[in-house]
Amino acid sequence: MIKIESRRTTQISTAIWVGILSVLISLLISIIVLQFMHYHPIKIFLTVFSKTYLRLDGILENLVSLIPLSLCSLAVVVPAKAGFWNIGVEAQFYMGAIGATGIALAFPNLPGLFLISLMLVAGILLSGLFGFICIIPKIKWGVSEILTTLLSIFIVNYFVKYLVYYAWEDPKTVAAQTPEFVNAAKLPILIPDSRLHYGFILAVLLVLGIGFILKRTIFGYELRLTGANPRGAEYAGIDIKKYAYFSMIIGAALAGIAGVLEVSGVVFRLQPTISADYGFSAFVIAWVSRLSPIAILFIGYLFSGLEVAGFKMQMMGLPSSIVAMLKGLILLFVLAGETLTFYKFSWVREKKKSEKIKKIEKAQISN
Amino acid sequence: MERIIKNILKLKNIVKTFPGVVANDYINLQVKRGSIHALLGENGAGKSTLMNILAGLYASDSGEIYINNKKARINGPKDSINLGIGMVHQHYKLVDTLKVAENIIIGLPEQKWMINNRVLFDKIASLSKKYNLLVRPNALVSDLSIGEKQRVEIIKMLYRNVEILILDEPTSVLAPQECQNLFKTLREMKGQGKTIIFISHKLNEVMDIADMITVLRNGKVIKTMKKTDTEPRKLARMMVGKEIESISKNILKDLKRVEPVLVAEDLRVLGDEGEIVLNNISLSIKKGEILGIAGVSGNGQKELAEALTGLRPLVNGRIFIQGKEMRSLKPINFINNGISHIPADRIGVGIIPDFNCIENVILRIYKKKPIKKGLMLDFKKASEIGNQLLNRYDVRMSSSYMPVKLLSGGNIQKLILARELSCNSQLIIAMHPTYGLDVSVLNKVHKFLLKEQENGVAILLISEDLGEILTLSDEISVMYKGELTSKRSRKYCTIENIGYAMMGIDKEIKEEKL
Amino acid sequence: MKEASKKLMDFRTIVWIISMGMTAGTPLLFSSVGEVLSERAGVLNIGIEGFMLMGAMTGFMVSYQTGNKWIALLAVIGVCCILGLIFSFVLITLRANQIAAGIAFTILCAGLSTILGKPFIGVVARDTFKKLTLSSLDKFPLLQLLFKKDLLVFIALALAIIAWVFVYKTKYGLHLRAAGDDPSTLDSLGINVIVQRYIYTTLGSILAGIGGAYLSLAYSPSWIEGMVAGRGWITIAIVNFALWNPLYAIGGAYLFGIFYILSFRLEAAGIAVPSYFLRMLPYISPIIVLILSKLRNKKNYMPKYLCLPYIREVK
Repeated sequence: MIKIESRRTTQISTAIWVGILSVLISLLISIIVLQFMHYHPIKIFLTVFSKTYLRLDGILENLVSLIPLSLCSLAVVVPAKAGFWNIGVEAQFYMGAIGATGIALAFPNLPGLFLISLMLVAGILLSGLFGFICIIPKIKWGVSEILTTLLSIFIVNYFVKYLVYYAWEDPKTVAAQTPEFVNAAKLPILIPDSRLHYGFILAVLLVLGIGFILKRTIFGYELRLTGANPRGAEYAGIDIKKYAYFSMIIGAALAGIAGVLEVSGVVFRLQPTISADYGFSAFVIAWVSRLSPIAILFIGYLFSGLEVAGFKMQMMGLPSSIVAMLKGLILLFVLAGETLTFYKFSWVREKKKSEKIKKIEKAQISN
Repeated sequence: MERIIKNILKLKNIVKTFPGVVANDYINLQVKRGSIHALLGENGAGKSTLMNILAGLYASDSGEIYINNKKARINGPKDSINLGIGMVHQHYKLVDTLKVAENIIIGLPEQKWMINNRVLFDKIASLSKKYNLLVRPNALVSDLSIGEKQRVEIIKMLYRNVEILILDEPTSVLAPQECQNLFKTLREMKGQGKTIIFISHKLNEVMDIADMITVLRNGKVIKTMKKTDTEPRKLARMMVGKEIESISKNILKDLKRVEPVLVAEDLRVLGDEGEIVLNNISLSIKKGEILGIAGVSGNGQKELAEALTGLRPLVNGRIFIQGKEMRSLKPINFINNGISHIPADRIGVGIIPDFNCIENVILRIYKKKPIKKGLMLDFKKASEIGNQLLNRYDVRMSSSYMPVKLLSGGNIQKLILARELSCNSQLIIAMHPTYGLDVSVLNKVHKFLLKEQENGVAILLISEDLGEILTLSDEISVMYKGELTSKRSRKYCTIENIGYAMMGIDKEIKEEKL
Repeated sequence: MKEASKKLMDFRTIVWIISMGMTAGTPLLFSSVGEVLSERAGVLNIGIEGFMLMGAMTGFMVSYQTGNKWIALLAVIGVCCILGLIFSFVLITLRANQIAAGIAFTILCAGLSTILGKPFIGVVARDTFKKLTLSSLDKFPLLQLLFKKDLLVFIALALAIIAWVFVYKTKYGLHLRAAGDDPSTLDSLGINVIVQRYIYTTLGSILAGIGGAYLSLAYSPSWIEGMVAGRGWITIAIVNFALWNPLYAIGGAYLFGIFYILSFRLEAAGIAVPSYFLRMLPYISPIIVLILSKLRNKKNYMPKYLCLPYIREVK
């Protein structure tokens, strides 16, 4: 008979093994599927992955993708720590981008630093407000934030298309985009000959900052209490509604900042495709990182490499959606493997009678 | 011709242990066919555990069960039902969202796949009539009163042709008239040849209905005897054991001129289903006084504690702390006014299970210096103070950074005490503080509470455990169906007069002729 | 004369909208019935979007390769059965977090269906479900509108009604409801809760797959990435709004089908709102409808143990 009992302590080493195994098995399955479709993945994988992770220009490209990925992952983590699911990060990302684009197109003559600050503020306001709207139905009427955030992705997607095809369309081309930003609205490049812009510093600071706030401040402590046991938190005097609102607004704002940084640092215009599915990747990263901001930086780096690799693979003939498959598989295996970290599986036989009686006598003595 | 076997049920040397406690300690029991056999004992004596083994929900560590002198293998509830054993649990196993008739037939293999209401209702009606169990087959279980739910559970068992019916504390939530109806049903069942095992801690009812009585204490059988061979006082002594040990307690000085710490006026509070659970309750507690509220749980105690700590809104009524009226009834205001709360639901409400011991023990003091440093938490100070508290209250753990959910029940309670008793409160509201704890921890908890009293802290003790109430309280009151008797000094209280009030037989605690 | 015909016009338009709503709502109806069963047993299947994608892709692919839509349907059932069992294993036996696993599964299926479906983008369908030629109805234009639909529409309707009878009138329905509302009681009566949950989760996955296949084999016969467009998520809203009752799910599914149709119809009617805002309609309406529903219904119909893994206490 298989006995399942809770482990006394969650082993970090098991978690790391589970992570590594998940990645390996996922890669294996992906390779099998690709072979089945008559592609030749192994050689391409090796070339692409070495280019992505082992060459300097690959590493820098990864860091560029890390900016939106890490911020969006934080956007999942902060509400999660308070006990809420923010799955619609994609929508909040775009709202931030929309805010920034609006300011950039409306005030092209402002000085650089001021303009960019204004773009940030606009992005944060729009996305934060959006996060607030998504959580109200839950607090007031019990309508799950999972539904509101998920459906909002489609709503915002159409909004972006409207802006890009009509309201803010670029008169020079038929492509789905707004006009390019003026130079004042573009973030300067951090490392020359790469696309890595100053937004990287902001992203890293935010990740470290949020991690710090969650762990060491009273606000963070109360937020985590709300997520860990809402009834217990209420009993301890905490206003759980306040943390519901705050965590979603902050989460949404973080995703919005990611959007601002993407349009002002990489793309320099608004398009419906600036997010390479960052929202769902962020969800995967957040979970695989066990909701730890520091881990997000590392695991986020791995995943951003995957994104970049995806583009390169497409140029070499592999379908880029293999990356989506990989992401899904990795998360699924990590989740499946989580049981190994929380529970211990053991084989139990019927104990002999004398053993049980010894146990009883021991219990009697301790009483 | 087959001899009719006298003992329908025989339990031989049943042993059952849980981590740290022996629930059943070599129990031997014989139950005669067609009798009503009572298992009498205090909470934690091992009665429910024993019957759960018989009903197939627990597996005994060792021992044997004989049904009609044949050894029985019970590996699960299905086996028990096949042997003709059915149990009506204290917390009814009925699916709230289904109708009465549906609950009665759920899981029955003989039931055809399409439910024929007419046939079903007819059979239920005939059982109803035969055993005087009035039920409404088409009603939703969530709409039933507790008495009705119990009747449904019994019919559910009768529908499956049980021969041995086990009832776990069936009268704890019944009104006196409903009790009598139940007893009428049980006598009818006995007349039909059924055997009934009746688990209870209520002396007088056991004396009323039982033929045979077995007293359990601390997992052991003390004695089995015929009802006619005993009487309540003897039974009480067997149940409790030694004389109620009096922990040395300072005699209260004259408190007549001391201001009350807490005054509650005409509290009216609704329960989770919208029903009235507190019906114009008033009470007052003076500084340094321990007021004990006795009563079987389910009479509004939990809601009273919640109302007095801001966790449940008041429909009507006012609360005054140190003479000041509480205008805002949020939990944080009660906390800031010096009210500590040891909750009934230790694990669900009293701790944050996934957080470590330090993080849990500082939950009342993290917003004060020195742990609060500006906007931040000083973890070093938190560890220092936390460890001090955990040591002072003897919390045993392998590391103060281990998740608190892994602690034993006794240590969790000690941690909660460490937290609640060390923040300079004026009033401690303690609900069932020693529920489920073994004797050594229990004594420690009592000592901690008494120490607080010495420091002038008032304590509102709400407990089912009469021994605890009698040991600690200066004044005693009884709660019954949302109403509170007036206070009576401990000097004038005994198990009997409190017991009668707990059962609702007396509206106040009667004067005992000493 | 003009007045009368105008009236008829309007009435005709309404019937047309309802009729088109039925067709548009059919994939939602399949998946809603499936999800009702799954959630009633206590398992929240957020992977529906993924199952619908896989169903759509598999249906189109097999129909193209074999030229037979019924074989395609069988293939969809087979594939979703296997995927459903795997998913059930992760959710029920391994007790993974149901929401995260559902999202993971959806991402996986999105990727997988895109890869496997690549050769079929833009390909002309070979065998699809066409409208029934009920020639006896030719004389009645209104009835024609309502009933000249492909077979699957009626199958979906029939399944919903059968599901309703199953849940409320049979003893297996009792087991299903108890599995989600009070699994420990069900267990104590000897019915294996785990097996129940496996069955209904897998069944729900299969129905979702059929719903997806409807999109690629009947509604707009083709295969495009992103064909499902969030219908899986809307299904979850429908199940909530339908109070977990298969019969109400019919109304819910058709209602949202109508919203889909409305967005195009209003555009064609020349309404002054940009088309993109109209297309938001099917995504905003579930939220608003749910809020209204919660305001009206104070009672909570959600299965009490939804999303909570069942752990049998072995003592």
